[in-house]
Formats: sequence, structure tokens, C-alpha cells
Amino acid sequence: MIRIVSIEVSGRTARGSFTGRMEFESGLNVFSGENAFGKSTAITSIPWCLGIEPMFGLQNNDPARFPGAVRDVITLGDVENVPVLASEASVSIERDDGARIALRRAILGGDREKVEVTETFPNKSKKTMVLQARKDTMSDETAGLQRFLFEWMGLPRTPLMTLNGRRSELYLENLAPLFFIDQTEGWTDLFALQVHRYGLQEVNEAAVEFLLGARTALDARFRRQENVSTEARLKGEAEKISERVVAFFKAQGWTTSWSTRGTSVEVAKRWADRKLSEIARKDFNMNVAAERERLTQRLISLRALLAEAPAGAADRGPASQASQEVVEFKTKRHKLRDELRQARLQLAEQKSLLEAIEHRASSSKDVLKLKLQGIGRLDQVECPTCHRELDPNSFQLTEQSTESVAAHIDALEKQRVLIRHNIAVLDAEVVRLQHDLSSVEERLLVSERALATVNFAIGATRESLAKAAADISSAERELDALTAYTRDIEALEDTVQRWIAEVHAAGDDEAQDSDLRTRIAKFEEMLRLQLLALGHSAVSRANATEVRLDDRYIPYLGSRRLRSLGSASDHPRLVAAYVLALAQASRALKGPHPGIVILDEPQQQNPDAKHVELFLQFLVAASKGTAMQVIVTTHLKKDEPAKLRAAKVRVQELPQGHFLNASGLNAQRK
Amino acid sequence: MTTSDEDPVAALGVALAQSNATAKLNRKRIVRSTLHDANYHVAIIACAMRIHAEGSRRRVLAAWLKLLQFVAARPSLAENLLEYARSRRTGDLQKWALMPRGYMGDQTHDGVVDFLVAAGVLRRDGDYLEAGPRYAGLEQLAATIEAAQMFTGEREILNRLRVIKPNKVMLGGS
Repeated sequence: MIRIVSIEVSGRTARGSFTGRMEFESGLNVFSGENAFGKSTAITSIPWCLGIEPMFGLQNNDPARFPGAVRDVITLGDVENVPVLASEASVSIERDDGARIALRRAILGGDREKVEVTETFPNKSKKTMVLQARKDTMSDETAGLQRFLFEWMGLPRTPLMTLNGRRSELYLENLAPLFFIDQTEGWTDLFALQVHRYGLQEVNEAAVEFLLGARTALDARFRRQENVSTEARLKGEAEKISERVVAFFKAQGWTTSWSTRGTSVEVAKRWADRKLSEIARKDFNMNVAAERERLTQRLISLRALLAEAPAGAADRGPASQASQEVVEFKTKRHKLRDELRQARLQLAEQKSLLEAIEHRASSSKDVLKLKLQGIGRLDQVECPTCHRELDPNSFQLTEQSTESVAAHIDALEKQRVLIRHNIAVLDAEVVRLQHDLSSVEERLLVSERALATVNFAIGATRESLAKAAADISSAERELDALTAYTRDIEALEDTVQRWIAEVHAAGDDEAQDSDLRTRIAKFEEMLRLQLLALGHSAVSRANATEVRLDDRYIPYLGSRRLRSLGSASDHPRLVAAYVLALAQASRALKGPHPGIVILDEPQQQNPDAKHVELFLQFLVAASKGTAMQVIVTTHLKKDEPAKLRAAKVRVQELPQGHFLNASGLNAQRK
Repeated sequence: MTTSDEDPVAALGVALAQSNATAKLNRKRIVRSTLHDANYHVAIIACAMRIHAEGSRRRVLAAWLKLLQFVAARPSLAENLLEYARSRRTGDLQKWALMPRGYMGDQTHDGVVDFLVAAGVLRRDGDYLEAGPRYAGLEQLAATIEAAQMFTGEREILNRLRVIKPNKVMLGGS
């Protein structure tokens, strides 16, 4: 934890110098002053010296957030519009162990890109260095200011992915909107000052988790973000694998669904459920072991025939046997060609039918649109001669009702589903028939060669030998094809499994983080207490248990966003409750919250007397229970500071009209 | 007869035969096609007139308009008609069979044209139809359809059929 010890803003003009200083204690610090008294000038020094001005939408090193009094002209005493020659801000911060740093940065007339850091160690020794405020502020190990501050405050570095898939990390300006509430934009939205231009993904959620100390969740978030960029690659690989699988099955004459629909995790889950060899076995009766056994036995018997059986002793002559095989394959080929032609014809008809149905469905939707919009209605047409409305019924015309057209569209949709199913079935049938035909044609070719060889042989013995040799050759080819099939399906299976393993390795972070749930529950508990303490009009003791945070840490009351409930003045109450609850929860959970909350002008939207009273009560309660440092700048009315002091709240008023006062010799005062 | 295990339709037949189920017609569930809807026909006639009617009088052969709207609603006939039209130039009589003839009995179209003539939207002039005194409404409807990107399928076919130069002989007349 840290605390702000002091803020100082000083400058120089031709008429003399000016300076302003505020000092802070631990716990609640209330600063009261009239509007335009320079409270915000002082408070702006904190983000400026921390080098986090981008949170105000500014470019690096742009001091535009400071008022003109330190950048342009100042009123010194009774002299107005005195040009400012140089100005600077410094902030002193103390750590729990007593170590301090003083950060000094030029506002005008100096090097705004640098911050002078004077480090005072617990043993009172000092070290001064000049660090880069914005340039390589985190990556520069020796001269980066934020790198130094993270280290000095003991904040862990947190990687996050950017929207364009680059690795980056959370910066201080990404965390500050959750403990520094600026007087203008800060109160408009919980994450109004978040810096989105860096393109960090889910930066709001990550900042909340960071301050809650949810390291496991942050690590998981980063890994998941990394995975998003690998998702596209994995899906691309899945598409290629799917094409290979479908082509492989098609080559066997089988059609299977091996889709890549959904996320890679969904695809992996689906693919892991069924192995390719199982699909082949169950859906297409492809039992490799049995087939190998059958072919091996056939080879053994054929070889035995060649070695042992008496040549030419078969019942049928080898030539007629070979001839018979050729005839059988030709018959099969003829039958398959016929079946294929029929299947293709049916497929073409179904496709044509689908086209017609889709055309009709599209037309019917347009007809429905005409009827719903009353375009081209016939019941408003009158006879040009007698000026009486023409009745379409007398022309045997019917105008369908919108319900009737809608029913027709519904029926067409059902038909479309049916026809698409038919097309898928016919597609599969065509694939199977094409494969069977090609297989039969191949075997016919082998048979025709065997017949030619047998016909060349002279004598029954030679014919038998030639036939046996041809059969052995054919069986060996089948065995070779089976071996190739086994090798290919195993290689494919291996590719699929490796892809699944890669998906699992990339997506192992889906498990719920119980540590995060505990931390969120604490945050919710604190938020309820703060909302009640600040008097948010939509939250009561009766419904406070319904206050919850969604997965983006947006507060809800039941099913409605809390932001949309209550009056306009409830909005700042919600923001204040949120940041205070987050700080308290972080402290209770030993999270890395820096331990400071700055509320610049929390009484926005001119609260009514009741809410002003609630606000004062809240300050009294906060002064007692706050272990962290809460700095509130506001404008208290006449008797309010006294009331607060009576309740032992530390209140500092700005008595001299403005935070900045002339301090030089030739300055004049009224 | 196939067994119920092989054929789900046969299985349903067996189940129905063994039950006391009786057929009951729910008239509300009978769905009429929008092909017979008068609004649809008016819309397509409007598009056909916009694309095919010629001259300041917006004249078109009545039979050609009838065929155009018939084919526009049935895209599978468009290619046949185009092929037939191409074959006429080469005198190939074999393609005569491709000429769609179902349109002749399209009574909805006749009714719609009669209605539009009675309403003064169209006017008959012998075998032709042309713009009537209230034709602007039909033109406005066609413009609305075009602007709203409706009936894109029908309009695409009507545009493709612009290459055909129709005459009475081609349409089966004398």
C-alpha cells in the first residue's frame, strides 16, 4: 500500500513566482474550497507526475488537463493575466515500510518527457534519477517510469493481448480509472477514463481482476486471449483435415459427416467422440482385421493350390472360369451404371425441386411483405366509370390472408429441409455407386487380363497354372490395397488426434476459477455496503442482496443494470461505491490495490439536502473505518466543515482564495 | 410386400392398419400456394410491363405477357423457353416440345388482367394490352418492388427473356 504525502505545484512569471501545496494523512482527507479554487489543479498533479495522462484522452506528455493558471496566464494578487514562464508539479508518495519517492515533472518550460524521481530509503539515504514519463515507460528496464513504479509499489506485471493479436500489458493508466475519479468524466461511467486506444482486449475486466488480486484468473484470461489468435489457425487446419477425411472416405465409396462447424473446442469434442476407424467399422462394415484374415487365407489356399493340388483337376476348366468372371463383372458393371444413372437423375430432379422451392419461398416472403405493408392491394381499386369499388371476387380472384401466406412459407421451409435431406442421401448414394463402379471396372480389367493369359496357355495344366498365378496376383493386390488403406486411415487418425491435442493444450483454461469467485463475492459484499452507505435510491436493505456483478464486472440489481436505475444523482454514488468497494475488497483479500482512492468533486448533479446529509454521514463513517487513504475534494457549505470536524473528520479548507499563491518577492497581493 | 423393418412408410402403413385411426381433415392446415394469389400476379404483371412493354403506350402482346408471368414464377421453364426461342431462328422443329404450354390454362392471370382492365389500369387493343388511364399505379408498384429488392428471382428471369422477340405464331396463335 502507498499513500500520497504531499502535492506541490509551483511556477515562475516575470512578476515573481507562485506555489501551492497540499499535505495528506492516512485515512480520509477532505479538502473543501469554492469552485475554481484550484482543487483540481492540485489533484491533476497526481496523474501527471505518475505519467498517466493518456487516461484523460490526451497524447503523451500533453499537460492540457491543467488549467491555464499553470500553462498560460495567472492572476497574481490583483494583477490579472500574468504570463507563466515555467511551472512544475511534484508529488510525494510513501510506502508502508516508510520508503518515499518524490516525483517532479515540468508542466511548462521544461522537459515534460522526463520525471525526476528522488527515492528516499527507510534508512534515510537518497537516490535521484530521471526517468522517461511515457517513452518505453514499461519496457525500458532502466529508464522507464512505469517499470520503476510497478517495481517500487510491488505491483505484478500483467500481460494482455491487443485486438490485433499483439502481446502487451496492463499499464498504470489502465488501473488508475478504478481509484482516481476525475471531477468531470470520471463520474459519468465506471470505466469512463479507461484507455481503450491501446487496443488491449477486455481491459476493464482485467483491471478489476488485477486490483482484486485474481492472478489465476488474469493468467487464464491472457492464455484465453492468446488462444483466440490461435483459434483462427486451428480452424484453418481443421478445414484442411476435414477435406482430407471426406476425400479419403469418398475414395472408399463412403459418405460421412466430418464437419468443422463451431469453435475448435466444439469440433475437437465432436471429433474425439468417434475415431475414423470406428466410423469405417460401424457405419460401413469395414473390419480390417477380418478382411486381412480373409485375404491371407485366400492367398494361402491359392498358393497351396499352386503347390499341391493336381493341375487341371478342377470341375470347371480355368478358361471357362476366367470367362465366367469377366461376364459376371460386366453384368455388375451394367447394373451399377444403370443405378448410378438413376441416382444422378433423381439427384438432379431433387436439386431442381429445391431451386423451385427456394424461388417460391423467396417470392412468398415478398408477397407477405406486400400484404403487411399494404402495397398493391386490390380492394382499394375503383371502377373508373361508376367509381364503385371493384370486388376481386367477381373476377374469380382470391387474395390470400397474411396468415395463409405465412403458413405457405412455413410449409415451404419444411419441404426445403426434406429435400435437402434427400439431396444429402442421394449424394451419398452417388458417391457409393461411383466407388463400386470404379472397383468393379478395376476387377473387370484384372479378370480380362487373367482370361487373356489363360487363353494364351496351351493345355489344361498350363491353363490351371496361369489362372492360379492370376488369382494370386489379384489377391496380393487386394492385400496391398488393404495395407495402404490401413496406413492411410492411421495417418489420418494420427493427424486428427494431434489436432485435438493441440486444441486441448490451447483451451485448458475453461475450468471455473474458485479463487476468482471468492474475490468477486467479497467485492459484491463491499459494494452492497457502500451503496447503502451512500444512499443509492434503488438499493435498500431489502433488496441489497440482489446486487451482483456480471462477468464484465458491471453492477446489476437483479436483472437490471444498476446504472439505469435510480435518479441522475445516484450515478456518482454508484461510481464512488464501486471504487471504494473495490479498494476495500482488495485490501481484505490482500490484493495489489495501491491503497488510495481519489474522489474529485463527488457531489455531482447538485444532490438534495437528504443526500448531502447522507454524504456527510458517509464521510464520518469512512473516517473511522478507512485504513486506506481516501482523498475527497468538494465544496462544503458553511456549517458542514465544523460538523465533520466535530465528528473527528480531517477537513482542510482552502482559506486564501486559491490553491496557488504568489510567493516571489515582487508579487503583489490585494 | 416389404417388411416394416426395411421401409418406414410400410411400417406406418402396418401401424395404421392395426389401429382404429381415422383420417380427419383440418381445413385450416391446408396451405394454398401464393402462385394463385392475386396480389402476386399483379406484382409480377407490374414487373413484366416495366421490363417488356414498349413505347409510350406501353404495349405488349397479351399472350406474351401471360407466358412471361407464368415462366417468371417457374424458373425451371426459363431455359426451355430460351432454347426454344433460339431454335426457331435455325428452324429446328425438335425444340418445339420445349415451349411451355401450361400457361394457356392460367385462369388467375386472366382474372387479374380482366380486373386491371376494368379498373382502367390496362386497356385491350386487339391481341395487345397497353397502359390504361390509371397505369401510373402499376408503374409505381413496379418501381417500389425494384427499390425494395423484392421478387428478384422473377425480375431476373423477366430480364433474361428480353432477348426473345415474340410473335403470335411462336405463342401458338395464328
